[in-house]
Amino acid sequence: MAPAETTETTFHACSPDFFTAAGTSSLELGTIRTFKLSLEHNKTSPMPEHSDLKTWFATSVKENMDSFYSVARRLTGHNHDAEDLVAEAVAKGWQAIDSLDDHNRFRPWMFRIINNCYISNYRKKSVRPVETAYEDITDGNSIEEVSNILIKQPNEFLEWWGNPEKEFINNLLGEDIMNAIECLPEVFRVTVLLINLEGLSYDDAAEVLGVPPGTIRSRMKRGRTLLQKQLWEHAKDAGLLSGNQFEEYTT
Amino acid sequence: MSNDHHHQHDDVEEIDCLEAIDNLYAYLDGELIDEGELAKFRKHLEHCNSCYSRSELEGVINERIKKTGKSKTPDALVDRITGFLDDL
Repeated sequence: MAPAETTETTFHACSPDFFTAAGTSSLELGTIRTFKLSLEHNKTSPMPEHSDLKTWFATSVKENMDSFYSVARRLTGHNHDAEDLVAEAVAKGWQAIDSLDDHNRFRPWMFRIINNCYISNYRKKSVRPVETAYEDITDGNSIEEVSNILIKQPNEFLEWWGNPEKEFINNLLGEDIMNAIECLPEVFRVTVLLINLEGLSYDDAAEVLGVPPGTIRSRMKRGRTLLQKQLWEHAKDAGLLSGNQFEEYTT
Repeated sequence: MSNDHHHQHDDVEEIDCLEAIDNLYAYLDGELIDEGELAKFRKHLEHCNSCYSRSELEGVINERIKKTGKSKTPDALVDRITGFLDDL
């Protein structure tokens, strides 16, 4: 397929097909358009000439394949689904190459396609949690939000969190953390993966997920608090907590 | 004011733990870029053991996610995608 030449200098998160496929509402589309404007001050890097485009795309995909597969694997929770998801997303990426105007935006653009493919075709099969009684808070009082998050947590956990055992930290396995991330509700799981695993900025993650950057900040607070609580519960159930840290509070 | 003595040493405003936790992840993720906010957060960590410990733990978790979360693409998928790219 011959990609058409583009003249716009701003970044399209994805082609209209992908918005539809992901069930993205027109409201979210509006958000993205507004957000696009905020990116205009960033220097863009034009796409390669048509003749070099295939080579550039192939190289970019190969360079980032481990990143794409890592996120896909933790999103789906299945190795085979992750393989299909990445293969499908790469094919869709090439089909929609016209919608990428700035080659520096390749990674967030591909992550958006991966996430949208996941939502369309793989989420139903996933055994991982999807639904959560959570509403994004973007313009609310941030401190009040933290207070609301913490008030729902058990005191025992909050006390521990401010004084965790060194032994617990030393013995905390990366794989246990990754398993706990896989158990997070989807909205938090994907945010934590993009930011903490792939190192995307909050602005880039916002672009991938089609939400304002403030929402990403809020999801990180909620997602990571939830993650920490899961790790604590896991350690508690496994008898890995010494309980020593509570003495300070009771004496 | 009970915290007047702090202001004799520097003029960075005191924040409480809630405000520190509000900024904790943004700080660790390199997203707390406002210098005033950054100074307030750092000052709080210097004075608050709980927030310091929390920050340390969350920082360790960030490191371990980066270290162990990456998966190598299986050969079958590398072949499949290379095949697709070669046929473009």
